[in-house]
Amino acid sequence: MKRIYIIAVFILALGLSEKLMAQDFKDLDTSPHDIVYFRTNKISPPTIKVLYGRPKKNGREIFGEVIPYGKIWKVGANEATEVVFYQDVIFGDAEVKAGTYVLYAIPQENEWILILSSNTDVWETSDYQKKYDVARATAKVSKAEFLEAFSIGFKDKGKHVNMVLAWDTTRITAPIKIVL
Amino acid sequence: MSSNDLLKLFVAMNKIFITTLMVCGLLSSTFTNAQKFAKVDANPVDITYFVKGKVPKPLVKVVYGRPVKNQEKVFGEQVPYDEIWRTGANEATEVKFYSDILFGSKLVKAGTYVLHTIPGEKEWTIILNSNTDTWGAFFYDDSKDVVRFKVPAKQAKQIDVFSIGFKKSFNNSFMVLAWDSTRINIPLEEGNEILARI
Repeated sequence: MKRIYIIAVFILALGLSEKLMAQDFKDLDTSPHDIVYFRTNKISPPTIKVLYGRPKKNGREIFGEVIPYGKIWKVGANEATEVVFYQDVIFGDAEVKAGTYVLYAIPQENEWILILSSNTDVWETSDYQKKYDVARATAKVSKAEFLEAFSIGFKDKGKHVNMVLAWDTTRITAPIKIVL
Repeated sequence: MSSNDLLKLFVAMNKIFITTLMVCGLLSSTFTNAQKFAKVDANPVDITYFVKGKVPKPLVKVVYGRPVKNQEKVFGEQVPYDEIWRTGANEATEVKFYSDILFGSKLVKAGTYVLHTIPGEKEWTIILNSNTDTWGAFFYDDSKDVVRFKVPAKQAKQIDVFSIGFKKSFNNSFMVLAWDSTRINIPLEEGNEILARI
């Protein structure tokens, strides 16, 4: 009896160590991350890079419901959205040094507030702390064609570049000036 | 048809022509105004952090594309042996060290690098390169190599999606590249640990 018990414990221990040894890797995200670059031309090194999570609308009412107005939003999904400036820029009225920042937004019906924070590598909107604010900018709200997945893009306007946040039929446009 | 009629016809044709031109112009301008956004990628980007204990900041961050197995065998078929591989999909895989680190027993300064590999049947070549923000391995320039070393290829259970993770066994840490039944364990050691040993 005792022998059976010892063997059972032995087998159990083996099973456990097998479990511990086998490394699990996470599945593909349902809101996968994506990378978007802004380059002044196709072959030049990038000027701006954004790394952001892309949630889907899935038939929900997004702005004003899933993402309430007047509250901080981490602009994407999962890890907070990261913006890299390879050169100094003017964001809103503030000069921002080349570097890596987290982008937050306060969605509103008529205009949004975009915030750059120096507290990087965070996940939750609740990680937002005002003391790390680097710049704030107001952004225009407009309407365009429907998009299922949250998207960020750039539009070269010559003297400045528009960073465009796009989801559903909403477009948020914030001008960024590159300091040369 | 009199010459007057011909003139009238000519004017009318011109009007139609101009209207058509204007409509075309309007259409094309709405086309150029509608901004295109990239579709969600089939091989999406993912982020993996290596965090030790409850320290507020991570030690290593990896941003990489995650392709899916679509052939009988990944290495040797979908990804050829003995050729430089972007170690992911789309944009080159990016590794950020938050402090100096021993990567495959080579000292690497804190910073951001591109990770390339050369898969082989028995062993892989691991390369860190300082030419960041590139697409794939098409812009690979070996003069920008920071470290280059070899690691044996190991076997484990089959997985469909290319994955990068971290693991600790006893006192050793590893960055693990995993796809199909192949596992590549790259030893990692923190700066503090290096100092502790001296």
